[in-house]
Amino acid sequence: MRKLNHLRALRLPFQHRDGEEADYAALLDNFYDVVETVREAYPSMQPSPAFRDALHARLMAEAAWLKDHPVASPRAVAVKRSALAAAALLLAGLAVLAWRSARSQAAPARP
Amino acid sequence: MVLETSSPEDAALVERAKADSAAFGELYERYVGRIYSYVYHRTGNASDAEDLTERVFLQALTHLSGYTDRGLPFSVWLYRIAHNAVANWYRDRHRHTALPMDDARVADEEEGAAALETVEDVALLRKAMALLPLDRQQLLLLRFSEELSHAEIAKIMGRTEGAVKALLHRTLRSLKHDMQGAGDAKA
Repeated sequence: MRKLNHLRALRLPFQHRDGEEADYAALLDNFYDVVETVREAYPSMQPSPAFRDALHARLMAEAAWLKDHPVASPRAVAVKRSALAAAALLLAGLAVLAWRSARSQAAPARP
Repeated sequence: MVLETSSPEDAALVERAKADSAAFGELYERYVGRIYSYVYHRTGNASDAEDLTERVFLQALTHLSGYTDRGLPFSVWLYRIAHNAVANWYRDRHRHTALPMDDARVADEEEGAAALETVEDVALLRKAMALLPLDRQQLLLLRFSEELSHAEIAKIMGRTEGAVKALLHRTLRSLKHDMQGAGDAKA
């Protein structure tokens, strides 16, 4: 009974989070031993305070650097690439036209 | 699909963080524990967990300007970065690390028959979970440790919600079968 009450307490956070309670409750009822043991097997782990502080400091330094050297967003990079590709295609088209025009002028007139 | 939406505080903080590093620091403090715990359980050791946690937040910082809130919670976005980082980590090392077997926390639990039973159950289950494919280990972790919804997990793992539910059911059934088998063998 104690185990079941413990499980119900664990289930509470889900009940107001999404509309899956019915499915999920059935799943828990069928596998409550397993689910409870899985939770036991995954205790919450926390980073050491030293690591946490060091990473915070590094992120702040990176943020300051990024402010001075903004990274282009993936969309901006894609737009830039598309513009370059379009310009290349246009130049290639113009080159072909010029070549054909030069060839037709150079060719001897047919009798 | 039912998906938890971004909390208003998160959404406002993310918008501020695009221009204000202190706001990103707040986001970091809010999520570093959860991301570290997730990565720790996926890699099995503190050193790699620290390395990957660092990569996740650096990547989040670099790409924050490209994040747009379309109802996808910021936490799910972070977990997705972590998911990709862990996948790359496995790819780089070509290895399948077992779950951490440091049971110190479990061993510290109160003495008595019930606690002993739990410790034995956890040990059995850990062995069974270590043999699961990586995607199933990840699914159990996201569902029962990180307490994410099926829809959120589907977004992180790049699957449909139905596929996630089906995989979860199959995984639990398989674990139950393994535990029952081990229990019968003990008896």
